[in-house]
Amino acid sequence: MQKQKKPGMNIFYKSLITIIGIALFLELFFPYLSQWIAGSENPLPVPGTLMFMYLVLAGIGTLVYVASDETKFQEFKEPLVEMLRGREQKEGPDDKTHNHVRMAILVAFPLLVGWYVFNQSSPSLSAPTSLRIQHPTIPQTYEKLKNPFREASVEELEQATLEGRVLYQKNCRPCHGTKAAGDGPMARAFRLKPANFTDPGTIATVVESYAFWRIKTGAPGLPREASPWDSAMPVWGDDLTDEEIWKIILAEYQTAGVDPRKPEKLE
Amino acid sequence: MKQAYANIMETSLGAGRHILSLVLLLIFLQPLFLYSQQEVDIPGTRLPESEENLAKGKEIYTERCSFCHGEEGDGGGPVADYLFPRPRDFQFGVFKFRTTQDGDPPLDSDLYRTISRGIPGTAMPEWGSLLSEDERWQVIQYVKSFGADFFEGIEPVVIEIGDEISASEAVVAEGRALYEKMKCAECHGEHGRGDGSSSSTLMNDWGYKVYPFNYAESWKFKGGNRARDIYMRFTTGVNGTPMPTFALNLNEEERWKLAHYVKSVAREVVAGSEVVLVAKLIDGALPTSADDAAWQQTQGLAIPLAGQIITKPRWQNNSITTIYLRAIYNSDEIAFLVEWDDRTKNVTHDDSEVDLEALMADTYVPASHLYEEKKLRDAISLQFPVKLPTGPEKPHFFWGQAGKKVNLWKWHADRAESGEHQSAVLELNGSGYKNALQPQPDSSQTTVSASDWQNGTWRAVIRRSLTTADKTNDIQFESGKLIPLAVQAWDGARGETDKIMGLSAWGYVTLDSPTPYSAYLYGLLGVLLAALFELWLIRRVRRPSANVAKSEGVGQTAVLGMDSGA
Repeated sequence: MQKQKKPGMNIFYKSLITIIGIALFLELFFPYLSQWIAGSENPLPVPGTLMFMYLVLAGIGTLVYVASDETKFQEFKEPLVEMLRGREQKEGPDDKTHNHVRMAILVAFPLLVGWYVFNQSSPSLSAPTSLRIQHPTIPQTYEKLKNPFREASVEELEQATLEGRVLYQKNCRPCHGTKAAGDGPMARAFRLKPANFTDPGTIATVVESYAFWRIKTGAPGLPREASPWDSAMPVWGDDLTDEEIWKIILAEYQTAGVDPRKPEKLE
Repeated sequence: MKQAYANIMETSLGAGRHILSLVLLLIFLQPLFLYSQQEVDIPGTRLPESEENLAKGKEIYTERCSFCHGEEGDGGGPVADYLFPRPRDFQFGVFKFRTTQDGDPPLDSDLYRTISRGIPGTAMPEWGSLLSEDERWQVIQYVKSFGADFFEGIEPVVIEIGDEISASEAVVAEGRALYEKMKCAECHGEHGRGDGSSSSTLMNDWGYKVYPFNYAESWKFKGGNRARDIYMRFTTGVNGTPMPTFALNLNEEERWKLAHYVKSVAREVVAGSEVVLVAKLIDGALPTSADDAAWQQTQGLAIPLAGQIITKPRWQNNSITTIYLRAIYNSDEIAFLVEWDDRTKNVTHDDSEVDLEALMADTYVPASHLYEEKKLRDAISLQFPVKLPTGPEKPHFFWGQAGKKVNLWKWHADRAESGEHQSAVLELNGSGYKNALQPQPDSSQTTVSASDWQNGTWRAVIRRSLTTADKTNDIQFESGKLIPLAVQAWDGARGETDKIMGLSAWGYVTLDSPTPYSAYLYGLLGVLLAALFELWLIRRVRRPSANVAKSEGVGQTAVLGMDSGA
């Protein structure tokens, strides 16, 4: 067999192994990496749509690499052509096995296509998962607001924070939890889980005016892309004064043990 | 200015954040929030008691515990009035979840266990993820200091758990017999729904209202839901509450049997694990009563409810925390079976029982609202959007919004009892919680219902035609669609009326349809096309080499050449 003379593995199989390797990495290892980055309690699996995108990219990348060189491309094509054409029987048991595998693949391929088409055209019963923008753009009217207590004396700030903590525990705790970890007693029932403020991806990534906007206008203040229809966030502007909201914000950050994002200097 | 603004947004939504946001998004998609009921590892070595540790404990307590339990440890923090059950008063050394004999103070390890895992179904969260082991021991030292007299010089008798008797049908049956013999049903009800004859009159040692536990909601067993946890409660009693110890009246074997019976009452479903209710298609008439065997052929859905905490009057102590749904349809009609646990049957309604205006003075309705039983009716409502959504966009789950109406089927216990209407259901439309619900005209009231209350459980069957004439106000059911569905519930005895209620987020109902013939046809077509394509490819590569060589290049010829030579 002349092919065996070639050193190493055929590039087609190398490509296949690379793509499978990437898939396994995304499936098995990546959730733990994201867990570590996000500091979450559970591994965070890669969503199906994203997985598909990554694998398409990996596939395109491999093809570009293979097609970059004529000999590589020929080598890549070889097993495919061989699979379609089949081997001559006289070459011994090895070729017999190859031809059995070939037959199996040739039969399986149309069946798989048929199965996929069937699944696509029969009704599905699973709930739709829609991607949601977690941090939509803050309206300009809120953008420049500053927490008045940050500029007050140390005593005033301390007093305001203390009052804020009582207000937080009374008003926000049922959903966002005593520890501000998004695990209050009401949290279980909502599809859109209350934000976990101890998570580095929530209030730690926004400026205080952003938090003020979210608390004051609640779910109805969210744009479409943030799916306001699933949010239980009240319009606290109806029931709390601005001052109370700023106090709650102080408390939120303190309870969660994170700092607000510093606003950039505006010209 | 615009530029600066854009810069901020760009940095705050930079590449790293993008990935992070996507990852975080998954947290929101996570359908289930499970209470941890597993064993807590209690460290063998613990911090010794010392002045320094007491001071540390006080610091942690003030920072984390005082808002509910009070700076004085009297269970009277600023949040206490809004919580049901009320936070523990630490001044008397009385604790519910112990491994010590009735009347004895708890072990430090008992307090450690409760702090570490929290108490399901209450405002007490798990602290294991926040406080280190040392911090937990420090806070325990401080908590005990509030009732020091009740700990000092007392050597509590520790309950040792012997060999567990495992569950079997016979064991459960004997447990049931003991349940009857010990008169457990007087408080906990015939089937353990917490609906016994004295269930509405119980108080704890502090004079606050308490309810007997509903065994069906097994995920809310406060001291743990394993047989050994329940066994321990029977043995130690739940001090401070009317729940006595059975250590003297039942031997160990009997307590195990009783524990297994109590466990067997649990409903098998976990609320929130699924969000799609599948309505089953049948030929012929739909069931008209909850007893119909046809319901058992369907797949149920358990929907978790939260208190209505979105607008005043906010209520975080909703009585009904799970609603169980089933659905069946035929070519004309759809029927829903709605089941929920409610300790009391309330079929009269007197609006003057509740002064809503007064309750709206505060941001939340205080827990004392439920201490006195009210003469208000029980009710539930099923909610659908009037227009089926075409994309992800839906009306808001709390009674819709302006421009996106919802259709409510509100079942009233008083209407069911009076029998004056063909249906206990009043059909309404909602366009946001700030607007009053609009009852539909009589001509649009087309539902039919039947309901009953037995042993602490309401069951209502609600039937309507799949489509109606009133297309501007009614949901029109179509098969093959995911139809948003939400529920709301009111327990009249607990003062639930108007927006003092429990409510769910959006789930879905879908009319299960047999796979259409077209799907088979398309599948077959897929197989044929793929096979033809394959054959074409094979023919192509098998063609005389010259032809292939021309189109595929020199390298290919070489490979083929080698092969045919071999």
